[in-house]
Amino acid sequence: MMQKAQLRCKSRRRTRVREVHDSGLVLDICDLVGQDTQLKKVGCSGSGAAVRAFSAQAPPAAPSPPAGTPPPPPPPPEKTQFGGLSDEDRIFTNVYGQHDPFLKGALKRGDWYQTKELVQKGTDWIVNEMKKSGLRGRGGAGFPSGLKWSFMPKVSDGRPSYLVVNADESEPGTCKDREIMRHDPHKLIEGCLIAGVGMRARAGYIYIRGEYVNERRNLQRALAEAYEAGYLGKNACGSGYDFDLHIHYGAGAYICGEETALLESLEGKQGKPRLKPPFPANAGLYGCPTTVTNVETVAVSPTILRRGPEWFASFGRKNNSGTKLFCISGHVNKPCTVEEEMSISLRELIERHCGGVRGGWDNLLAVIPGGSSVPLLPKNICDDVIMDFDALKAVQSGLGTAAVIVMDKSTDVVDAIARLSYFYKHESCGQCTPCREGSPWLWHMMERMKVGNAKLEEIDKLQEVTKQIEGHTICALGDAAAWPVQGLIRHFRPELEKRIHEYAKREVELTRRARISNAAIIARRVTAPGGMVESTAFQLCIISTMFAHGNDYPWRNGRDSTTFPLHFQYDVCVCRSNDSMNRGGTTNYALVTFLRSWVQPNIRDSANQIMRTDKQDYYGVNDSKRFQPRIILK
Amino acid sequence: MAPRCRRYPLPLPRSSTGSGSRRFSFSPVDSSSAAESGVAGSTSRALHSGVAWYAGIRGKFYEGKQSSDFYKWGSGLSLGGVRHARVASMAAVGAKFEAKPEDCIEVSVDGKDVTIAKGMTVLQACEVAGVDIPRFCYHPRLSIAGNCRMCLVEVEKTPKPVASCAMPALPGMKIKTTTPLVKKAREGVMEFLLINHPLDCPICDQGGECDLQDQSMVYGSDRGRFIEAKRSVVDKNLGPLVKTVMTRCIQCTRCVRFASEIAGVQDLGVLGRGGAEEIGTYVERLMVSELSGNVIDICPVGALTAKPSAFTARSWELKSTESIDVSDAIGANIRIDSRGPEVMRILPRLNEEVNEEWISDKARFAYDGLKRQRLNEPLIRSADGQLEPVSWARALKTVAEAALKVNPDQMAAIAGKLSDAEAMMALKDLMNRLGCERLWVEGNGEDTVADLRSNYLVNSTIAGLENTDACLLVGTELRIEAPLLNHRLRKAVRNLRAKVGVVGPETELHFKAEHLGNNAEVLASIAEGKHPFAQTLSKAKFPSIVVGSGVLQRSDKEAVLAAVQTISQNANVIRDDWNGYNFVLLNAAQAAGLDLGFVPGSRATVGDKSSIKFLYLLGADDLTPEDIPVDAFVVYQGHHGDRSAYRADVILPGVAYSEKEGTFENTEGRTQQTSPAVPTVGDARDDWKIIRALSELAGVKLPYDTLNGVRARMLAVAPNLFRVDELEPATPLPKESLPEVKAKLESSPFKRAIENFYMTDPISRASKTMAQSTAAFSRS
Repeated sequence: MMQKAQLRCKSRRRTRVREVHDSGLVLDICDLVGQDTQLKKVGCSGSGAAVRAFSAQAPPAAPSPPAGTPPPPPPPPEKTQFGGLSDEDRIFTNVYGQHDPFLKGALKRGDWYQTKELVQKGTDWIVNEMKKSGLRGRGGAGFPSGLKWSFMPKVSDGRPSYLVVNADESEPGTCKDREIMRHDPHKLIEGCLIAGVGMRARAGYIYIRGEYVNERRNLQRALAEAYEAGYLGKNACGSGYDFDLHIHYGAGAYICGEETALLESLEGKQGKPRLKPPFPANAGLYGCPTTVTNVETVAVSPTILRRGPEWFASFGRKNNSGTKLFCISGHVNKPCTVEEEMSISLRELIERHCGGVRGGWDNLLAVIPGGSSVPLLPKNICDDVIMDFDALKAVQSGLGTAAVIVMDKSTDVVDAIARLSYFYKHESCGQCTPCREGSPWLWHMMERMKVGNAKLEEIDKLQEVTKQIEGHTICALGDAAAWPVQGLIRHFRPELEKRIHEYAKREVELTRRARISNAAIIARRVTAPGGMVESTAFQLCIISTMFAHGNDYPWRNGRDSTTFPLHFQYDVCVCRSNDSMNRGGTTNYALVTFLRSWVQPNIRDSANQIMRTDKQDYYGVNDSKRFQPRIILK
Repeated sequence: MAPRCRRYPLPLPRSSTGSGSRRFSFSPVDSSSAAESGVAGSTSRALHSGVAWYAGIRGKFYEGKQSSDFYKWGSGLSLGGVRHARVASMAAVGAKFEAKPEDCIEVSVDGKDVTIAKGMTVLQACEVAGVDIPRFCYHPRLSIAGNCRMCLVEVEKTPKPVASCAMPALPGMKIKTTTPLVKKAREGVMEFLLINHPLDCPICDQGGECDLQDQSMVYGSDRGRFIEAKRSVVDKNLGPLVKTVMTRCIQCTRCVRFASEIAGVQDLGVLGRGGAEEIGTYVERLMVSELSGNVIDICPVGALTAKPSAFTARSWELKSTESIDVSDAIGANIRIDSRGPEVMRILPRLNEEVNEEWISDKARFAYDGLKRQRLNEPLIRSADGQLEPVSWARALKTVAEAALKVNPDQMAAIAGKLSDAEAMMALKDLMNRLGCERLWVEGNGEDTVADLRSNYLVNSTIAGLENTDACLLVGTELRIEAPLLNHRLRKAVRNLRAKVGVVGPETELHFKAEHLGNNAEVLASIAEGKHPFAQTLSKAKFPSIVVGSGVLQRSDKEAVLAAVQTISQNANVIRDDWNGYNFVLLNAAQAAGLDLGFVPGSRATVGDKSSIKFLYLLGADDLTPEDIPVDAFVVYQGHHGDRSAYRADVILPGVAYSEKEGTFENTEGRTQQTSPAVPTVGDARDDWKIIRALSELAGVKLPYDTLNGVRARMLAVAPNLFRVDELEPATPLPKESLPEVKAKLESSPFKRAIENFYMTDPISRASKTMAQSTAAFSRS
């Protein structure tokens, strides 16, 4: 595994891993910030020969100023260029697992350094520093972390407070927390202690996704090490603060990543989201004040405290500060998880770290910038969008978990979104109506959209259904089910329309062929002895009940159950349509085509009009026309 | 009488200015209910804290305590003719709750300012303002699920519509229920609910009284956009009472919450997730609860309907009559729905003091017994031993002659368990005038408790039992004997964490109760203060004791009751502000009979065979023919050809409770009246009229010719029976006045008073549904 990771690293032409200093246990990270700007530059350039120095591997000889001294002044505020995070500014220095993930290695990377002092500075200091750092929750919603921590009761009413870490990383495309847990578990565990102090919690629970077997093994081992070393438990780190940490395994439901469903699951119940209010900070786990935070949020907190909030705030745009783990997957040359500065441009992120889009930037079709639940962005937006909460919100998407899913032009984008709809349909907990009923419906419609088996106005219907789900549910899964589809309609409506047209054409052709044999039978019947009319001598034809019996879509399952009750005694051919016949829009089209080619070539071409019967039909506005003859042939 | 509800109220937002009853109003805190319960005021306050909210909403960690408070605000009202849970909750609109001004907040609903109590939800605030909010999952007696999303409203400064049932109303909140946003949101939810709901309203028993149907008239579209295949769900077998059509289910989880929170059975649950979510029993088993039929009422759609009345009537064909249930001594308020001469179904009526809005399965489903085994003409046993029909005149004359031949000392009369007070009054007057003093009312065992009214009543009151924090059950299987009283005790256990100890047969009560033993020694040790439960009782603020009628079957009943008295004294169960001594009667006629001067009678009393030559049975069927002396002349007046009818020499057909206007007193001493819903059967006559006619032929003409005349007579004998719908509490006698008891406790175990819940009286014994229930749910 390690070998593989290294290979991957090398092939990324980024890093020459330095030897690990065994003696470098105590390193002052604060000291590293100012040093060696050259290295930073190199890191920024992204050139193949770059040398990356991990901050923890800096020479131990560096003089250590006393702990807690203020960090160097923040960079100038008018920052316009983002990205190219230097190695010494990386928080997760073992994201690729080149080093020892456990205590020994963690100490070398600077974890657990002066944790005691941090703890002893107390809750208010921690919360204030977090607020100053501008850290926003890394789980998707982006709520300011310091503020969230400050919601916990200052004075207990007898109930204990709990920290719950959401390690149920199930959002498709997201794979950042697992890297922390399997390669840098001590960052998380130390973060739990810090966050626990910040919330006045005496116990914490890490709810880890059931599928993350190796991650939880590593985490479990790291936890044991931390207890062994006295970092947790009674008098954690010698600070006088008691803090216990437990790991709980989930059972694989996506919904258990929703904070209140997670709490339900943790309590041993069905993972179904709770109503809010009360919010967990008021009544969470076992009815006690609880804060649920993402792994990454917790794991970055010790480093923020050690290096200072100003350091952290120096990255990214205002209100979007910090560094962030981005997980880039899909059609890029080298998918990876990488820590980068917030507000890096999407294009730079992909080209610098992932070797670019497969087939070049121009081959890009769309990007889902923040995990499966956020709307996708087409290439023209991707060209210059930057990756932070506000910028992505401005283009009607979201940073989410910063899981960038790249799709090149070979992608069937409708199929991709349909697959996401299937995912949300499958993962809906079923508790509240809009999501329970709406998400399967969305999926069904998306499956039809995939092949174009729909009417044009159904695109609007699809959009309306997503709007009916969005914002009306107990938790955000409803929104998550709705947004990808909304994004698709917003940016790829022509694609949907094209498929519908193509499908209609195809069906017409198929129907026509199917009808040939039918017509032949009829012709044979009427020309049989005793028959009155020759098959070619169509005089008048009323096709009134053509599709009234049985299958609305006779061609769909290959079973042509409808009869073809042509009456040849009349001079006019009338086609009546009712609602069920009209479905899909192709029936009339097929009928007209059939009549034109087999009955009377000079039939009035109203097929397209009929197929495009406007959506008024659905609302009854046009009702009076519904049961009137649609085509009159002379 | 309180106004009847509209039968099919549509929850249209009303523009009318609300009537006076819809206003929230202040009233003094010291209302009678608060004074009786003693704790009502104090427990209903803790709602503002987050804990309370959490509990109120989820009913989990701090379960119960607040979940009941949640609807306590709406209690204390009486509303007639309430069928639907939703309608019942609407009743909260007119509720007068006690609140101090400082516990109130002001919110605005559609521009109208209303004052509401703190802790109310947005939905309740809207109700106070007279605005109906559509809802499916919300039920005021259940925890809040907030999952149907039908009750969405707009709150100013909130970006998304909020679920009003779960959102606490905050001071100054501006709630809007008529905006396009709200309408659109509800229409969206309605469409989602309908896409998988079958379009089988024409054959659905809920049709006409279906919440979904009603709401879809307001928020539904006239045609669907859903062209995919609908979901179908396999029906579940819940036994002979509840029919399931699970495809109609909208997953509101009311039934699940009812089962776990009210009935106390964990058999129902939500299975699967997403679109595949189903309500069902986790494993294939029936939902065994005496209250199971109530899920039919709370189901907002036709997923759970009554199996016995399936496909028999449409709701709009039925005539509703408000009446009283007589299947047990609780006197649940019911509504009898009839069509022509037939009772089609029985539903609960709201009465917070008695049955809230629940009734037992026996009350609900035994009505088919009213159509079987009926006595419809006077019969006389002929010389060959066969009963043959005769005219009323001859039958009455025969009885009168037989009575006059017998020495009054050799006469006796027994009033059966379904007798109304009027008939008992007339019977008592008749027998007394004939010189007979031996008048019994059916019950378990004999005498002893009958002298002192507080000895045979539920003194804490049925609703008051909710406030107990420690309760000792003696010789009673409360769940079987009085399911609704058991439910009140269950509430006390859930809400106040009351400790319940049981001395008696071991029974599942559906709440946490400690079984202390089934012998009198345990009782003795509690009385002596040796048993730990004696401490529990003594420490309790509102201790209570519930004694079952089964105790009276024991030969050492005096000793048992004396021990109970001692326990009661030691634990201070009876004091000025609280009387926790409760005796649970089994039969509807018992309390009134005892008030009128009948004494509990039984087989044992009649056992003295030689002494009885003339026995008048007013629907008394607990005797077997062997109990009755061979040479006795037996008159049976009743409505069912049940056990005693086979022994009768003359049968006088009376009427059942569904056919008469009769007074009943329930086990807490509350007088209530039945109303005739259907005509009498055949040649049957009102019971008091039969006795009045008989008196004339016997030469001891009773001095009343009208029902009011009988009632005037009742006013003289037992004034409380004249005050309908009122509770007449009993005054406990001072401890010193209790008689000294010498009897010794015996070691024999307490026996069950009722072997089969489903068959206890002539009506339920004649009921096919009850027979099926016995087969399905029988505990053996």
